[in-house]
Amino acid sequence: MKKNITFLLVAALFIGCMKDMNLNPDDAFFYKGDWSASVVNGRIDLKSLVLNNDMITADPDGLLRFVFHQDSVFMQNVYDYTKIPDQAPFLVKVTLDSPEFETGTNLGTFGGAKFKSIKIASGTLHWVATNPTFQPVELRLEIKNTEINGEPLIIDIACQPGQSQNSTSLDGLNFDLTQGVGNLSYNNLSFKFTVSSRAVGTNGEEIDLSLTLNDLSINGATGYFGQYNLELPSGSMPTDFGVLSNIAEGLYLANPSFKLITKSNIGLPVTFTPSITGISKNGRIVPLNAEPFVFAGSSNVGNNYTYAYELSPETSNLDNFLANVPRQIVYSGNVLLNPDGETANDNFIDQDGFIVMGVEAELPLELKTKNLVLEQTFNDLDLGIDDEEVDFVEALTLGFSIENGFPLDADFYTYFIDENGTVVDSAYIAMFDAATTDVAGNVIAPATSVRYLEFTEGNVKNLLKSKSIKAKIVLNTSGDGDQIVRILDSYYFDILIGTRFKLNYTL
Amino acid sequence: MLLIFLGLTLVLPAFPQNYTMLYQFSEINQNLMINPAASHPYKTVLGIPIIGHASVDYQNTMFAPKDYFNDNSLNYRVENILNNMRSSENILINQNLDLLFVAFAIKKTYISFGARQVSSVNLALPRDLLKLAYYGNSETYGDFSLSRKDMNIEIFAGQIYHLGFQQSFLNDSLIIGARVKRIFGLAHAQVSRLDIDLQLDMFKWQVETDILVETSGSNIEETIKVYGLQNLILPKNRGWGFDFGATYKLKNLTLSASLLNVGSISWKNDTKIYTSKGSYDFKGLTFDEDTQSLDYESILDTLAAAFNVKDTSDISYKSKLPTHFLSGIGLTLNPKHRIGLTYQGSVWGDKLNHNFGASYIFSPGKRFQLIFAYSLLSGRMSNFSFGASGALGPLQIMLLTDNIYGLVMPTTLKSSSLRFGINLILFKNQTTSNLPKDENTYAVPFDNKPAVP
Repeated sequence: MKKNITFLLVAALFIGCMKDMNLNPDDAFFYKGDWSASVVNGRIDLKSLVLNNDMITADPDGLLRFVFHQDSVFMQNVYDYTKIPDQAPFLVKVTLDSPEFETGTNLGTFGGAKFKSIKIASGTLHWVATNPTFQPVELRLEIKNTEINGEPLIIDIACQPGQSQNSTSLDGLNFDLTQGVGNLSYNNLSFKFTVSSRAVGTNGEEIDLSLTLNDLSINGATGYFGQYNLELPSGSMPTDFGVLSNIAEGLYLANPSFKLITKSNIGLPVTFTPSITGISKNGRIVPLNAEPFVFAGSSNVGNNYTYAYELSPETSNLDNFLANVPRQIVYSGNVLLNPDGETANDNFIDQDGFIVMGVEAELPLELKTKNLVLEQTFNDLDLGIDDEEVDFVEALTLGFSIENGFPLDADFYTYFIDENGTVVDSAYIAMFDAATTDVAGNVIAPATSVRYLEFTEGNVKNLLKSKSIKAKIVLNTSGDGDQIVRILDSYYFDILIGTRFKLNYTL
Repeated sequence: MLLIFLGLTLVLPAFPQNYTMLYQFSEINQNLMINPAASHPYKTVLGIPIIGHASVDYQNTMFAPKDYFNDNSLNYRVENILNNMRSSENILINQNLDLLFVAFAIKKTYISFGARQVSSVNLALPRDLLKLAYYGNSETYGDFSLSRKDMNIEIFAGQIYHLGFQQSFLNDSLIIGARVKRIFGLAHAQVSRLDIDLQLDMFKWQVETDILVETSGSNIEETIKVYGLQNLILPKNRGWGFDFGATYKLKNLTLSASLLNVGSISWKNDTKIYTSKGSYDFKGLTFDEDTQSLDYESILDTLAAAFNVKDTSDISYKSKLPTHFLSGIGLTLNPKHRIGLTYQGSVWGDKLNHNFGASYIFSPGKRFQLIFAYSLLSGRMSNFSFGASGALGPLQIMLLTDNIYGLVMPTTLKSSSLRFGINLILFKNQTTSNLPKDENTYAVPFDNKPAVP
């Protein structure tokens, strides 16, 4: 009995204590680790940037210089300057029993052009003959003062009874327009007619002849090409500003050099009135407002002439044009031939004539940035996270540990964009401070900044659900963007980006 | 007695590898294994093969059953366990089985020998690393160092063949004893060197490692294939161990000390050595200015090179035996009552663990003894322990268990230990045929003239 009581007592104690335990405890586990780790590190060193980029050079003192060349912004067919209009028909009566005779007319031109010689690239002489007799008549036409293959151009005209017509090619024909039946020393066209054969009994009969020069284009000329305006061909072209390509706007350069380089081998002074407009990454349009300039042209046949027209902020809208960082340049304009009228020097052009206008920009990076914007959009994000899993990150912090050797401070904006292109959330951080500069604008000490960009749980959800992210960095030089600073090749930028994420993940 | 045995079996008590109670309980002859100079009243002891002595120890200093099996959420329970951890906690599973134990006295000499099968897993779990895994590194959990004191593991399986010898001097006031052990290791793994420094913050993860892990016999099939089946019985992994002890009796006062496991094992079968020595600063993916991209591919190569991770095979290594030092003082109040104090210092890894014990032994008769003990383990855990030894004729049955408090509050148990055995015994100057029948007769272990009716 005593043993039984002892046993029961022990058993009761044991079982009683087991009641304190729950042998089927809750097994739902939420992993709530709060982790931090560095994600990316890197150094942006301007020295290596210079080495790897043909468009950037460094001055002896280290000042970086951005050099941009575009050889042919404008290019025009120079033969537009020597266009000859279709000529009016030149009417002649040829009496069949008369001896050979000469007659002439003047070449019709644009803008009072006075050609002394021309070379026909292409064109025709069209004749129409009306023969009142009942027998064929043959006439011979010599275009005086012309030459092709060492001979003057002679055309045999077969006039059938009634009306007949034909065309003769003038391609390659050289005209000397200084001599003619009149007393002009230019634009002279002379013709010599001879009756080669006719039927008996046609004395006194007249053949009516109409001569027309059609579709003349020339590839060589001397004289005075006239004074008139021509529209320059319009167009657009992308720019390649290399490392500056991501800059949206806001870059103000202190001493930019921007030249329009015109080169030609034709002897023709012209006044260019260019119209150049830059369109930024964001579609902002800023005109260059370049003033008209005179291009004197070549002084001798066979010589090229180059003229650089330099724009300045004082004579143009250059500073704002560059600050807009054009991704696209739209150009048009017009050209005035012989702006000073006829001078003692003849104009000339030959078959190799050309005129091109290019752009040359040298931009020493002495600058100030007033809200200079760098933008990049990351599209088609797929973080591999289902909608029901977006809660697994409770909080997220991005840390930026930066040693900045640039005299620029930066603000960082991110925009989370959904599949409809709507910005559903955004975040902002004053990311780093500008390095200290001396009065000349050179950096004397880098700035170290450690900043944190915190995302709330709602931010994180929007981030995880977003389909694209737009990152925007706004840069300002010291003094709220008013100080001119110099960008030297010794500058660097050390960045460490870390992240801290607090999880709430159901295992 | 059966009732008491049942109760003890249910309790599954105390701190493993805690020798403080058994050290004083010399009525069990197997305590010669922890003090070769322990005095005994027996002339001859024969442990019944397989069941002569068996012990199982389990220790988990990290949490008790109630810490996990309760109504709180799993996160709460885990956090509660982590927040109550010391810098390092242990999990230990140890099992001993005497295949053979024989002891006998020849005049003033006492000889014992036998074979024991041992297996153990000993883990030291670092709080800082577990907290890092659970909480992450963002708060204060990412900056710490680990050594073998904090993080360790040792696994052992093998057989021990031992021969003990003790001799009485100075009219039996002084007993000197020693034991030599031939050890055959079947499988082993140990962390021989471990130094890890971690500094993990948002902008840099700095890790330094100096780690040496050695294993042997991790692939039993491979061991049999290469070395033959006989290597499972008498493996080529062999070592020597030595135990030393001394007991001195001054009237009713008994002073004793022992030094256990001086020696090592040389591991040769199927060995693998893993090392890592290096440091690495991880600052995220590096932006390559030339390619304008992030360099993903170099990370793994860089990590492997930085930590200099190597593994080599078939190189022998040695492992030290886990050394223990015990000392005790016993006071015989009268033939029925004895008290004792014990200190146990155990070295594992680079850490010295201290156990203190106080015991009271009640001997109502020569054939039946009870021991009640209190232990303070590693300066932290208090255990109330209980054991009993009884003899029916020449058959001695004994059962010892630590942490009797667990009988009352099993939900608070962090460890359990059970020693059980059946021996055939012959008392000194006695034969099985003339054993005393008087229940008031008792044994006095340190009396060189045991009471005889």
